[in-house]
Amino acid sequence: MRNNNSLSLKAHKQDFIIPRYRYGTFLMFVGGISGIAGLLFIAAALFNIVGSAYVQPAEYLGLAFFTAAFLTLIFTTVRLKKGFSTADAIARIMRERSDRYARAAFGSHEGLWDIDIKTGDAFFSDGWHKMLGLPEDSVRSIDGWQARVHPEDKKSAVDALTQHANRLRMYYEAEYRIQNRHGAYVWISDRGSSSDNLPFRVAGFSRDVTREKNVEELLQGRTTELARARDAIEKEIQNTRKFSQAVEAATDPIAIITPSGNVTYANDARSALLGLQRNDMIGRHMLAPYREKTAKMEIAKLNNALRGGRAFSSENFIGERTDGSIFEAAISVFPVREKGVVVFFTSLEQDITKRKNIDRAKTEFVSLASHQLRTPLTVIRWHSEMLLKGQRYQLADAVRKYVLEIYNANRRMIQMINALLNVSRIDLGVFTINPRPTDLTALMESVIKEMAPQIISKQLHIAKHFGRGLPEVAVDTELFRMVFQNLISNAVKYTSAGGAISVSIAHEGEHITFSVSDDGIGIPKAQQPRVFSKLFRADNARETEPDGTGLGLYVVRAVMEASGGTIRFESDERKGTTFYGIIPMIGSKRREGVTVLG
Amino acid sequence: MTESPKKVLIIEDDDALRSVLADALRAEYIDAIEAKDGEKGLMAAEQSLPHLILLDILMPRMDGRAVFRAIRAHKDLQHVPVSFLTNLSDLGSISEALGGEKADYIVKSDWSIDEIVRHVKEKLGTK
Repeated sequence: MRNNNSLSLKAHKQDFIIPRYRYGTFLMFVGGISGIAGLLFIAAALFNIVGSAYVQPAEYLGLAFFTAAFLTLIFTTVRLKKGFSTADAIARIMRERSDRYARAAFGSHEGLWDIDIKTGDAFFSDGWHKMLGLPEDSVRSIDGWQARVHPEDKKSAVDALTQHANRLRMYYEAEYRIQNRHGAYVWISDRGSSSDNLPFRVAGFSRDVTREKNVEELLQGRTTELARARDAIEKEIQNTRKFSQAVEAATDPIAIITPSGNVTYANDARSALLGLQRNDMIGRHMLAPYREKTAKMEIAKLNNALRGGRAFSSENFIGERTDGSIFEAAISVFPVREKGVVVFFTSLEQDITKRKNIDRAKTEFVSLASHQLRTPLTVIRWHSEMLLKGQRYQLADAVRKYVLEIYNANRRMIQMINALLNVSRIDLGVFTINPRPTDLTALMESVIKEMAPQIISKQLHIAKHFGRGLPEVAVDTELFRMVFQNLISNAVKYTSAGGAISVSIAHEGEHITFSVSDDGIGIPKAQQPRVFSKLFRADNARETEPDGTGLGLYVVRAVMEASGGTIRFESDERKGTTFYGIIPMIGSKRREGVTVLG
Repeated sequence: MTESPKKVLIIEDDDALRSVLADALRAEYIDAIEAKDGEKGLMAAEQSLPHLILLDILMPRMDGRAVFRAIRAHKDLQHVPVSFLTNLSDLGSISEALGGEKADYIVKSDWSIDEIVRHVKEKLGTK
């Protein structure tokens, strides 16, 4: 410890000057010289006494020197004795002080300086040089100092210095960057002052504050970063708040449930639907209000979906409110996953009592209308048939023609009502799908055969491309008869006399494909997107065949989709149309409906 | 040919339909008996013991399904063949009424009167 300190002392000793110590040495030197000179003269005088009597003046001179030397010696001795002890004390104090300063300066990375603004001369201590890693005494002028100051900081530092020199400031204080030996900048903080009688002589110390500055900058950066992060978090919170407000204010009942079905959150709409307070819902099973009235099967299906992490949706729930009122509900649940793991489910519930009632009313209306409308239509049909048979009455040709018109119009009306009923059953989703192994080739052949009269009368050529050994597919035979009937009757209707129709059925991997192609009037490009729409008829089809219903292709698509297949077409106006159907080899799913299409 | 004519009971609430059907059958020398609702139809069946019953489904008082059940429960009538007269939308209720038993049904508006006469003759075994 002590060694280190004395080392640091040595390094800085020259910063302090002790003039008294040198003055004592000078006195001792003068005294010594005088003494030696005096002794020499005394020696010379003694020789004269022995040898001759002509050197008297020299004897006096020697005596004078000797006396002077003696006096000087005495004076000096007294003086030195006193002086040495004082000088020692001063030196010791100074040394301690300087040691203290040096230690302080060294420890705090400080450097001392003393500059003369008038002459431009400057003294920078070793400590100062060391601070910048510069060789001792390499900076000796204000210019030399300025040259190292960062260009951006130069003005403020020099201004501070001159303002102080001009007595505009009590102290000189500046903070600036200055280049070190490696060309890098370190932050320096200067503080100094001048005495009143020498205003251009400013002395002070410099301190390396790079670390503080860095910390400050770092803090500044961190503060900005934090502010940014806070803004982002604030935004996120606001977004989240928006989402929760959206869910909260939704008019549809929404709940968050655990995979075991317990409610962890429910919005107001759910409270309103079930007539329950929120607290009465939280922690309870979401199906609690439905358990009594809903079919066990439906409850089990939903629970299985929850356990299996699957989405589920059904309209067959019947709930009971706390006031005893009953409602029909649609419930959907879907899993919310994080990194593939189900964390919770969201459930949507909807009171569909009204819609179910309307559905039932619609079904009843359809049933009633079909019965009520068909009965008079049948009366007209059978009576006109009786007239036309003419077993009892022979009709005049004119009357026969009129009755025939009545009969034909009646047939059209019956067909139209059948088509409308089919559509209404499709819309209600109540038609049955009863898949049976079906030979589609035979089915197509029989449909073509049914239409033979029209085909022959229009002299149409029919080409059939049926793949060999086609497997049977499990589809609803009667529904596919309707599909083929609609497609082929369209081809026949919209192809001019002498035209060509081609049909194909093929087995392609997992599918059976079929096509019905004609070289007829085609479908105008602009109207193609609406071809499968209910009651839509293309303009050219309307012109060619005014009596169509616009329901055939609607029924075709509904049947294909309900059967697990697809239907599409390609068409060019005046060149022809081809419909392509695809049926999966696995066939159609059975569906129990209220009615059959036909 | 000397055989007495076969009897067909038509139970149908719509007068016009019932009468034109009866006319068409009579023209083929079939004894057509008419009843305008389920109750009367059941009584007529007990009295006349027909060879075939054409039975409408939707009728006032006693509907076709109830009549069918009564006929099948009746010792004299249980083997009489029944063909339902129906509108398409009744198909669901027919199969329900049949309880598995296979029966014929005639979708009225889709059948011509000739087709019905042919069907009746087939059932009676006269053709």
